[in-house]
Amino acid sequence: MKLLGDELVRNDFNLKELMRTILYSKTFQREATDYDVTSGDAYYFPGPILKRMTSEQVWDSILTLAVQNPWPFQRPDAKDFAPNIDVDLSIATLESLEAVAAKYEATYYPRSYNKSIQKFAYQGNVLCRASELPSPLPGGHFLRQFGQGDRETINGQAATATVPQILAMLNGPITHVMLETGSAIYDNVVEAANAKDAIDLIFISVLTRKPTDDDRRVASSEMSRAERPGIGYGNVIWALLNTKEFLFIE
Amino acid sequence: MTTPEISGFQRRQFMATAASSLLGVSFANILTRDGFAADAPAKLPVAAPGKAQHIIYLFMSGAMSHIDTFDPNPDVPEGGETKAIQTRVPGMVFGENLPKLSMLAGALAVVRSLTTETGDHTQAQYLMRTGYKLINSIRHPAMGAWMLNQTDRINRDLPGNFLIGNGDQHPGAGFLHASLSPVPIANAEVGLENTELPKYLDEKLFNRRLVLASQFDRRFQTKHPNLEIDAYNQLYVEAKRLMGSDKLEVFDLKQETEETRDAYGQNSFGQGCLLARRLVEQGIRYVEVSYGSWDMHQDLYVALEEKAGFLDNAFSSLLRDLEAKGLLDKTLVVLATEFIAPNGRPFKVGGGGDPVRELLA
Repeated sequence: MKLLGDELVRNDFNLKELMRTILYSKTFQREATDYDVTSGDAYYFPGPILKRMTSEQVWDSILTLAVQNPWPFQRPDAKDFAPNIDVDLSIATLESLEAVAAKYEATYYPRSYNKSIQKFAYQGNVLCRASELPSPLPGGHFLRQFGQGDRETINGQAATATVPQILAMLNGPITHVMLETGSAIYDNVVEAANAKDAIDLIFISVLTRKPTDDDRRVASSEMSRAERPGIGYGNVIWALLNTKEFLFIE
Repeated sequence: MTTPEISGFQRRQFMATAASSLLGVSFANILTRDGFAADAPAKLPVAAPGKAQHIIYLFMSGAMSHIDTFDPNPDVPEGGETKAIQTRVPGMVFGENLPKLSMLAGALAVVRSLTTETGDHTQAQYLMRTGYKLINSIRHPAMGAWMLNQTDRINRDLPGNFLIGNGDQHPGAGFLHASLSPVPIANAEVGLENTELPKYLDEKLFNRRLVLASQFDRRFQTKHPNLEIDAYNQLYVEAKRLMGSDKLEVFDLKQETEETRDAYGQNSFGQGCLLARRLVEQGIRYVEVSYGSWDMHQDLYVALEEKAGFLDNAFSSLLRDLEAKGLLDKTLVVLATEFIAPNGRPFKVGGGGDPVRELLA
């Protein structure tokens, strides 16, 4: 703690620098372990327990690969609300109040608000960071399938496996949006200088690591089978999204 | 994975005890065969419970108020505004919002004597789904997983355990095999989504991709012998088996007549109950229909009228429909909620005031 405090002062309270220090530390970067140390065993500072990503992490990860701008809009804040609800009661009339109420209803009531963000939708799914989406989302939404809470009770988040999650990964629109022209990962792959770079890029994008020799062998055999390079890359991306390594934080 | 040994005798005993002492609803020929005519009188129950092959568990999450539904008490101030109506069973009254169920009262065993120690929704729901208290060390399986673990699937093409509606924090399969966990169906009208390949992808290419995925995953999987990862592996097998199966038409509620769909009620719970019947018809062992938002702290009587109305329609239609299809004598239908707080009224938890009660009907 003392060291972090000193570092914070030394960097003139730059929080980004502080985060960089923490994120690059060996402690933070320790690899995940599968099971907790049971009582009686010696504690050798193992890494965190292997966990599946939260639903928001899965969603945001996929979104980052899929769209150029995963943040097309932000949740309205007080400044956005103010002109809609700012009322000077000393001069307000019934008509003026009704006009303000109508304007508010037309902009921020769930029905109209949800409609207004549909322009960022792909097959009915609004493509924006999980933090900016309306909440609670309907029960069948990708985020809810992966365990986002329903806001009825606290701590409703879950990370357990279900069949609909897997069907969404295999067949759902969210894992296929990135295989289309114009997706962030597609454009990056197309720009890669050669096949090796493209495969590296795909692995780093999806699994945040470089391919092993085995991975390279499998990927290049796939590329040689593919009718067109585009199909081969698409297959590799889809396959990596459907690994458990993608879903779990190692 | 090993599971505790439970002998056939214990299992039978469990089912018999559960059926007779806890849940016992209506076996064999006790309802009218007048379709959905809700005001048709029900015959008195014929004792002789059969052995349940299916369970439909209707879970009213949020804590349904007992004094406004199955245990009204209008003669005391705490009883609130809800009036009681006489059911078909002499001496048994229900809340006025349940007229159709009151006609079927002879088919219901109402348990008004259960109590619980907790006023916390999460813990109480866990108790009602697993029979155990929520503790930190292990996760107990919910009843559907137990049932599937102790019996065989009747229909091998479909999973044997479903959860319809909102199932946040459901204990699932607990420490049992992940493949026993319920398949969640968020919206009965939509059913199971994403069961077909995208148009551009043919089966050959799909299989090639799956092989590719397992090759890329080999290093990670070998390195991490982990139950949570294994759960995903098991369910990938289950998901792949479901894809393209013609048994998926069980989710197509449009195959039912409009009359039937209306009788159940065109709302999430009504259609959920209808799907539950379709699933049981296909041999599914355990279906939970979860119906939330019973935690009515405000506007109790306004909210209750609609919600209890939906419950009355759906539950009574379900019983009549099961009976008409000859399924009721092998299906146990349970209605439960996590506990009963006199909603919207002064209520002191732990203050020695009103008891927190739990109800099974």
